[in-house]
Amino acid sequence: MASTRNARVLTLIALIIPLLVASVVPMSARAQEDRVEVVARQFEFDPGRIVAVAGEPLVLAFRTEDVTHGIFIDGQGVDVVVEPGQEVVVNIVPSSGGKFKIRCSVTCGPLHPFMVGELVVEQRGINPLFIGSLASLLAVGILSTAYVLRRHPSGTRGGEE
Amino acid sequence: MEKSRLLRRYELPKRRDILSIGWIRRLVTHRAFQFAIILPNLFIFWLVILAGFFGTPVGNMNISITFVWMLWWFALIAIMVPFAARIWCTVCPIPAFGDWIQRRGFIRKRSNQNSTTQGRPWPRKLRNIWLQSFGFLGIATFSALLVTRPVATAIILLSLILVATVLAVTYSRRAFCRYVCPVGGFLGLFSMFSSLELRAKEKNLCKRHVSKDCVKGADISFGCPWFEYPGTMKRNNYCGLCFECVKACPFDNISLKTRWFGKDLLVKEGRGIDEAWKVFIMLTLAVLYIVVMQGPWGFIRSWANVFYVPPYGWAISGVNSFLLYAGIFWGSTLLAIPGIFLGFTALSRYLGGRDVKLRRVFINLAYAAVPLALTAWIAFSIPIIMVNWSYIVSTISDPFGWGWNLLGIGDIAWQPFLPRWIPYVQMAVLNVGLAFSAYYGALLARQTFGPERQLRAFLPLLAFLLLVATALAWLFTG
Repeated sequence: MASTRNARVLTLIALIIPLLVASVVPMSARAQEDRVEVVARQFEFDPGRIVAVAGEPLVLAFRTEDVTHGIFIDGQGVDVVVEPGQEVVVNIVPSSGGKFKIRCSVTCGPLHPFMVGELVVEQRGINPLFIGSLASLLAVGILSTAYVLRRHPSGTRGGEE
Repeated sequence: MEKSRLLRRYELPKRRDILSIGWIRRLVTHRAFQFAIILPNLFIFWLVILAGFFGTPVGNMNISITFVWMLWWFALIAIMVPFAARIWCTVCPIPAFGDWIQRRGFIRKRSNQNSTTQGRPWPRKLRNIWLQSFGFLGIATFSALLVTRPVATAIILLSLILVATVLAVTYSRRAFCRYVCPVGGFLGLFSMFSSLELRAKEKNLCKRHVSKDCVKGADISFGCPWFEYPGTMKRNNYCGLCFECVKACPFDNISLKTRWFGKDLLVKEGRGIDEAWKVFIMLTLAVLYIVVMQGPWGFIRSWANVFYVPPYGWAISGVNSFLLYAGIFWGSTLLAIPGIFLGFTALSRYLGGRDVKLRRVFINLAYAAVPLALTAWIAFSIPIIMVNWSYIVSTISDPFGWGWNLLGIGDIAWQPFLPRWIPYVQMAVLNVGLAFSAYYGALLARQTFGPERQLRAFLPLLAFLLLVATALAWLFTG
């Protein structure tokens, strides 16, 4: 039956496409500065997005432009406080790729819970977490379609009450 | 009407009627049930409102913010709606004052009360969810204020109580809940995905039952406050789970059952352009909220933060930038995203068959995005609870932020719960949403175009769903 054949083809595609996506993404590593100056102010970090390379040392120098802020980086063991007029230097070596939020950990004003930045750690020029996410979405979308086609081959009734 | 094979297939094999459990049935059929569960909630509501007005203005140290926008929001969107439909409406205290005035009592039903004729009928032109959508958009535009300033939360809650009460005095039944409540609009939409449903067991019995106690009311019960008739009700959208129909039915013909997620999405009856638009409002708002509140772009946050004056002056910030933000907010939710979806819909129609009207294709296929929109909101809510749980705990001990420590947990340090894993949890949730959206999308394409043209018509819809999911994935992990 045509739908069952379609379902098989889609299942095959669902398995192959994620591998293709992972393989065609450029592998070039992004140039990386070893020291990044980060300014914390209500309610942002500047720069808001820092790109690092897994396994390479990264120095983050934080200072605040207004009130006291806290610096907490998910999964990196960083939790420090930055007072006005002070510079706090944090040395990290991100071990794995992915996206790690930088959060303010000291109540600094109304939008404090939303004061976030991002540390994106790449491996071989890509963010493996994002590529994995894309692959999973593609697989899920295609497999769901294949499942419907397999379960309801053309010729059967479809619809509702 | 006989159920189609499709729907029978997706009913869980042994679905127990929860109302067949003796103590639950006795509980919900007790006249005092709703009053008794609203009362403690009303106490918390007043506490929240008082804390909003008199507590600390620091949001994360005030119960009005931590309880409403962290705890309640997460519980509502991630637990109540997916697993228990509009169960929040059962306990919601906002319409309580209106109910009590309308019914001239807290609990008892007076025998001479006829709830079908009390109050004016709701205007026919407003019998849709547009008011709810615009109300929600209006409130959401000021969300950066609302979820961070306790006094704003208190004002909005008081305003909702006031509007609900005035409408209850003027119009019949719960016109506010059904047609006006800004929360009710998306609760109804997302409840279609819920794994719980209240339905008539035998619809033929309802047809034969002349007195229609569930609609008109009986000696022991009021007519459905939500203007629903269980005898024809096939979707969760507008059932507030008040259980008045359970009290009313002399044949015990109402059941409350678990079911497979999203069954209502395949029901044709009741679909409309207002609901279809609501899907895109909610989907777009989820993306915008993630960008504004959880993204690294501080300048967007300052746009949203109406009263914030950054050092670089009013010319490019303050009111001007807020107006720009509001324009993007309204333009993307009401025009841009529905417009883009219309393009994909036209492609579906081109591939699937032009004998179906474009408007019908747009409406039908829009429902496929409901699971994705719901899971986008859940994914948005996950960091709210995982990162901020300690604020909730500490405000239990110090609800007003006055330095109390009633339970000895007021000084608990801020400590996110497994923050490293948040993107993984978000992606897992998003994948579930996409799976359901693609699944129901394929079935909706079949329903709209027939089995032979199903796949061709579905592919553009799948592309749209993947596009949105990819954008969300980038925000979470990219």
